[in-house]
Amino acid sequence: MEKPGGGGVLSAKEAFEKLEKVGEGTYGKVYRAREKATGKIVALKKTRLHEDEEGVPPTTLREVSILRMLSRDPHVVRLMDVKQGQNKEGKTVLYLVFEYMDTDLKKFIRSFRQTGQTVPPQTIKSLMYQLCKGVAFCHGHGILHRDLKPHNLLMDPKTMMLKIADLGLARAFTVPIKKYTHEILTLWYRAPEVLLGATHYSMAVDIWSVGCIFAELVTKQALFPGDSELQQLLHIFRLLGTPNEDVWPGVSKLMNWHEYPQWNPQSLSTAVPSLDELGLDLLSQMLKYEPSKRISAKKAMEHAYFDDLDKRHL
Amino acid sequence: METRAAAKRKANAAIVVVVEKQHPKRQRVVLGELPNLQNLIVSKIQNPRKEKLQCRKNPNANKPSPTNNTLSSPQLDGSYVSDIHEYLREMEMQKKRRPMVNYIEKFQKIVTPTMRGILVDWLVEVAEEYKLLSDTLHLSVSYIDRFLSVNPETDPPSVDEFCSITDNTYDKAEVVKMEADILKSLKFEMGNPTVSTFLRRYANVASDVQKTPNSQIEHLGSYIGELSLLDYDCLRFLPSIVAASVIFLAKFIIWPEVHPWTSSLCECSGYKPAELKECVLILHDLYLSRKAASFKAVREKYKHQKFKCVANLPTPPYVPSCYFEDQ
Repeated sequence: MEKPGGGGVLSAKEAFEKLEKVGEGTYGKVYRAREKATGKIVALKKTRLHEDEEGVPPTTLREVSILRMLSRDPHVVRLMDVKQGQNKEGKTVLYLVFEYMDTDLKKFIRSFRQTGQTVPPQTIKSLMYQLCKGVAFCHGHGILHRDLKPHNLLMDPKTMMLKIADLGLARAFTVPIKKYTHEILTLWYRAPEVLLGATHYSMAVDIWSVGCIFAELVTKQALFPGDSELQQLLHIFRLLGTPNEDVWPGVSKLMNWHEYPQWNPQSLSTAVPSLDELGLDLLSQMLKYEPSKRISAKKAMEHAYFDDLDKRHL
Repeated sequence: METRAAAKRKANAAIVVVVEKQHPKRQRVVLGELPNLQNLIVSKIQNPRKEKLQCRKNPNANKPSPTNNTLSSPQLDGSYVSDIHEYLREMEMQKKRRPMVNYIEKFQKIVTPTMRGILVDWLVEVAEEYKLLSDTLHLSVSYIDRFLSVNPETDPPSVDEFCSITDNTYDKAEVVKMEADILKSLKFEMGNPTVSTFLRRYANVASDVQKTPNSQIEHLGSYIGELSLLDYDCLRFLPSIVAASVIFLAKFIIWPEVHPWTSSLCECSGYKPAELKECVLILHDLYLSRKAASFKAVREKYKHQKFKCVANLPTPPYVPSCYFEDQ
């Protein structure tokens, strides 16, 4: 298969046989498909290009250019090719060709919830280590994901391999950090500084999401399932206590700060009772209010929680 | 048939669109007519270098480099700063992310270094008009150079293929089509580091060690960085070398009697003064209008109060050669 953007002679229609639709995003559909030449199963992410409108959607442009920067990390989904094609109306369509993964973490957790089983602790540990490793790779390459959630973490249930996907909201950040829009990230996994309107934020927003995913793997339920920005904040405050200038200097100066109900912090073990002591310690470091105090993905990989994990094949 | 010059203008319009999409909430622009190229006089380099300044050691030359925390906002974990910098340095050297150094001589039958300068100068005005980030400007110029490196003779489409053209401004469909061509041509490798990528880090280190208001070094650095875009000669240098040379020159302009390069800057950039000499001297000529004097937009922009009028700062007519010797 040719390298991304190679613009080979075969169009997407000629090169692939669509097998089934597996999802739908803002800018188009995702198909499971077979590459005719090799029989290899791939994921085709179709992006509509409305030539009379705005051209290549910004999310697609960002996703492709960022995936081209991230080369080949085992924990970031691999973009194999970019192809152009035409739809029935003769409009230009862009196909991103990805390696195919059987499931995602959202479906994986749901399957355990439906059968009433708990995810084995060593499986949680392995998945969390891979997630931290993938996030550390992105951060070390100056990439901020900004939309980490179980649905965006692809999995191979046979090998338990996890890969970060959907970099449509990702940003390549520079030092120091620019002002970013705060209307990003699925609500349940959104960091408090983003909810409170901070425009300067960085890797810590991804780490908060990782913490929320960690808890969800253990309990099979979302840790903070808010249905509005306010409700989301209140969910967080009920468990971690209402923040103040002592625990989070500068919090009251954030754009969306108001006088909130005062809650005292609860022990994390009340929310994630089956997690062991080391796991709770790691989780607490991922869910620190003050972004600069939140553990980095790189440091998280060195946490004692992962000491008994066989990391050779991860 | 559309003229080749018009085809180039359309390409440049599309390039601005591509870059702007990476900076949300920015208005897009379509480029208009380039100024007439006839009778354009580019000033020759004058003023042979003379050396009068005494070379003084920088009192901060051997201060330990600042902690990683000073290089970033509080949210950026210090352990990543050097990782990112190392990766960017590695990435800037990749052939696929750089324009061919002498692409104009090798390929271009139409574009000349002067035309390129006019275009860049005009893009500076566009960036000012639409309040675009400096990164956007640097990326746009980088894409243009890369695009022209791999598209020596693009056959422009015929007029029949255009939906409508008025006042030399292309309609959206045309710009979108060109955008697709550019993306395909650059193989979606849009994430290349530019001078501005490295400038921020080096400016932070420089102002931290020197205890200067960060804004003065930053504005002067941005100014010299944008001047470097005007000069086709600067394509020879890696963006990190240009950025380091920009900081070297900015510090020389602010404190001409103190050695501009500190151990902190040497450590964080990985460059010794001798490695910067050639680039610094080119930038100095640009600063003194001994090169690219006819391009006014950058110079006018940085005369404004919002940039602390850094374009008006005086500088000696030469840089002492002892400043390029290792300390």
